Amino acid sequence: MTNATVLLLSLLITILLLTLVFFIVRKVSNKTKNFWTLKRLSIGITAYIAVGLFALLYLSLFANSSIQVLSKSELKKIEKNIEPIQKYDQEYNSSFLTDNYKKKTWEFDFLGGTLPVTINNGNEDSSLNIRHLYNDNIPAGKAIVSYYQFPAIIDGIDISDKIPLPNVYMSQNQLWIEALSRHEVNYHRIKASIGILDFNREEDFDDDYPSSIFYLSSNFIVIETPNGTDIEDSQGVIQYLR
Amino acid sequence: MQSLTNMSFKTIIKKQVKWKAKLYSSALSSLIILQVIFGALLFSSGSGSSGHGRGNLNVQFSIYSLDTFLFITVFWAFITAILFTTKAYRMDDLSIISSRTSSAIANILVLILYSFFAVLIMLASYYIQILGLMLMEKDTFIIDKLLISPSIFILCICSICLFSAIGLLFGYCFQGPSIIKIASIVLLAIGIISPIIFPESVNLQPFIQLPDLMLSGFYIIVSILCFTLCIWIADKSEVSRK
Repeated sequence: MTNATVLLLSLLITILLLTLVFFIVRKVSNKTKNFWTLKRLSIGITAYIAVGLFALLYLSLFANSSIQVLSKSELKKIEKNIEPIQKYDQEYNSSFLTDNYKKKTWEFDFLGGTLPVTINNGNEDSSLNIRHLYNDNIPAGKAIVSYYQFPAIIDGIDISDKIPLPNVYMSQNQLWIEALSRHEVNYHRIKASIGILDFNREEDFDDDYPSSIFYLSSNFIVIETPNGTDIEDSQGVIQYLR
Repeated sequence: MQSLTNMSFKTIIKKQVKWKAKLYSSALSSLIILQVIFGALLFSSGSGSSGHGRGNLNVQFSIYSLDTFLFITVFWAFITAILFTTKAYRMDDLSIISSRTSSAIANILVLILYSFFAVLIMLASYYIQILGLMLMEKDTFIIDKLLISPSIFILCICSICLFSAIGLLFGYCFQGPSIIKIASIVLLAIGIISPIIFPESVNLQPFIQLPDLMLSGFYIIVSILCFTLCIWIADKSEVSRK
């Protein structure tokens, strides 16, 4: 179906629905004409406002959100903590990979002195940051894959917990790392103000600090192998760390 | 004064306001119906949304601001004000009316009173929607700002007042002398055509940049101007009913 047909059909359905509603309302209003006296109408309007007031009271007393909106000072603190990540990464320094950011670890056994790795990004948009690290404490024929997730903030909300983990597995003596398919997260934000004014007012743009930070390198997959074990990276996407 | 009873102008208006406020109360119930319909239709999407995509994650924010309810209310105020000037409503005028001027002043006062109630109904609709959302979407519920600020409250009342004033003036224009009719038609045509032909000439950005209270003040000035014009046109109109 072309766009014009869809538009025409939706318009037709809307007109039909509106006509139906109009007839129903007309029928109902004829019957309820005498019911809505001034007194009843006033009671109805007052009751509606009272329900709204009750909703406001209930919300102000009991509404609590499990998702926290980060304040500017908190955002600054997080930014300070994760600022050196890119710098360390560019210097091949692994010291930014601390345990508090480690989200998951996989252990695999393999045969031989080389570990072939295949990376499947899934779609063009997703990019996995894969690093290789030699670890003397790992016995030969063993590989440890760790997933590190750093804070990823959008509009003051930390969404790092919502980022889907990659699929990591060993098949035919080869390590496979696959990004999961596109994933959508929906949030409902309550802003008791006039959005069109907030959006167009300059103070939001002039703000010296952005409320949205998303680091491209917010997650890392680190493959640790014992000394002397090489990684076969035919795609050339794995970077080495010291 | 054509009335046989000896009543002061103030008493006549007082009685008229009381009479009209009771008589047209069904307008407020129609506002409630409109708010409920639109509140239900936009329950899951809110009044705006923003999306962010990175890698294999899409983050969608549905923003629940006062915009939708305010737009519906100002539209309702505009239509209601026009309806106040129609023949059907004029027929319902209390028998003590002695001039069109007193009727116009009473209409203005009723519209101002209704604007206040309309804001309460608008806020009630908003908080009822938010309460429903909190109960149904608890996991994705984020509170940025729950309580409406006094300046936004005043701005809402002034916006509704402004649109009711424009509606009333629009309605009265077609009742006045032929010169006013022609002038209003020409002004209306210019108002509709000019943004289409010269879209760059209509720049609302400087108005939007103003603080809430200043914007409210501007709305009040324009409303007063419109209301004064309404009284002037009513004064120039014929006293007898057609």
